[in-house]
Amino acid sequence: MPDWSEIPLDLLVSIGRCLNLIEDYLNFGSVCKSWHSVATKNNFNNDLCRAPWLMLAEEEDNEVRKFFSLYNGMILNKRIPKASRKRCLESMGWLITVGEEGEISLLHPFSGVQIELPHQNTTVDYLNHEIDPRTCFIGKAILSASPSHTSDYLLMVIDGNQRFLSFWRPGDIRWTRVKCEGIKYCSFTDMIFFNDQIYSVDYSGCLLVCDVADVVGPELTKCHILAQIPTEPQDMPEHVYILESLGSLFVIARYGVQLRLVQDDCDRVPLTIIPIIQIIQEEEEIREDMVCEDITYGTTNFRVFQVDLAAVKMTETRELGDAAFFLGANASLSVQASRCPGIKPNHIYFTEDFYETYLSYEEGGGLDMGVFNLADGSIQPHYNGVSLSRFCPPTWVTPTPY
Amino acid sequence: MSSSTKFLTLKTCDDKKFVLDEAIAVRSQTIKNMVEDDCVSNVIPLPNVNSKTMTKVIEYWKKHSEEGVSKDVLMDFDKAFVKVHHSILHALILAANFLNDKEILDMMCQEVADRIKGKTPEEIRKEFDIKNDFTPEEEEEIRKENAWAFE
Repeated sequence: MPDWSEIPLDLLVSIGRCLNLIEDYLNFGSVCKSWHSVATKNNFNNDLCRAPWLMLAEEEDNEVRKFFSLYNGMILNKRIPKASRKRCLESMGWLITVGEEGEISLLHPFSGVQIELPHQNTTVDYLNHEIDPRTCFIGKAILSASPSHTSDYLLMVIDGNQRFLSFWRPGDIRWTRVKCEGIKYCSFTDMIFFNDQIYSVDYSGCLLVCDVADVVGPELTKCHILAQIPTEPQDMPEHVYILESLGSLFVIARYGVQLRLVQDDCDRVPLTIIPIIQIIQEEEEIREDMVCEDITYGTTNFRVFQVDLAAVKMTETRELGDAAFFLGANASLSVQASRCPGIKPNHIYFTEDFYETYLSYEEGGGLDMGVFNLADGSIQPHYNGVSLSRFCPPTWVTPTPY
Repeated sequence: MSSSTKFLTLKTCDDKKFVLDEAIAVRSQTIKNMVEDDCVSNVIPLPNVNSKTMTKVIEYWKKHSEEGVSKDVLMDFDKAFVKVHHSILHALILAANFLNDKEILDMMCQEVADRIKGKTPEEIRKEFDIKNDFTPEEEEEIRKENAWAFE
């Protein structure tokens, strides 16, 4: 019988180079000692597009973080002590971690490289906009380029209870606020760098644009509203995302993330709601019959709008072609399904990122995840386990080696 | 065929002789170097290749040297060519490596990779009859931290 564990190492390296997916490569390296010896990071062919992994919530007393692969259901483990008890946002494979004291850093989960960022109290007029809990002061974070490849990048964040956009560049000792001229009040939900512009969306479904060069310049930034999601008033989105897919911008409205009264018998893990009756009481008269069990939440629908920048309008679509969207606490992302085995085209892979809702529960968030089929509106689970956290519910992370 | 057709005789490790058109045999960089260095006597010994494997290699060389064969036909031929038991794959990889035929080698490496794809380590071992030589402790170590945790 031939012995595959004894074939020359350079041939094994060549075989390893034919494996495009890290999941396959890791299994290849776990077969036997000689195969293990060649399955190094340097021998991996790593220029290919990859679908994100689902970074599961932190388990108690365990520094090892689990990542779930949609390709083969494999669980990948990595010690990431620096992400412990931190809220983690993601962009280009980097985590933007926010600690309980408001300390922020950029952390590469797989290489362990960490870049300390200025504390959130260095944002403009922090004390007037400080929110509780502090880990949620930063709403979303996006990189203009990956710190793995360049030192010329911007990290843009939504901060201060979704009121502002601020940014940090390598070397800055504090956050710089984007001072928008011409915008009265916004409640930002997402943004993206696209064609040297920053496009952002807010809860009212407005699409705003400002120039990157303007933003980093000394003058006030001229920001203006480009378009509005064409939804009926009774169908206002509860959450809004923006992303780029094959050269076009898309705005996505998400429904069902806010607390609502139970109307159906849904079958899901019971959570313990933190009594919020007091909060409701302050705002309006409380209904006598309203008890905790009557309240629920969970994504019900998505609507996708393609942005036509030339005609300055948004058109609803239910056909994304080969694209699959990944939404949540990550920088909103589109991948080509045909290049990512295991990913279905024309589907939206979503995780739970609406902290206003999940912080109402002792266990935190993590149940409101799934795959939305844009063609028929159905929702299927993508991860069958239960993974809950108040700090960092499961989040998409694009695996990059460094 | 021109009158200058030269033939080479290749001798495998099990003492079988193959007479082959030199123009075809030089698909092997190893043989080509020997021919160019003029160190070819009557018979070229191939001490690392057996006759069964050499027959397969020559079958491939001849098909890919035929004139007027369409791309589709070659693709179908290649597809069928790699559908062999892993022991033959193993012999072909080593032979292609010794003969220094990059085309066959790349195709074989791709085939091995394709057989690895989507399988667990245990399934891969089964596919290639590989013995798990990790100690339980080493295996546990790999399992404990497997995401980009090389080196």
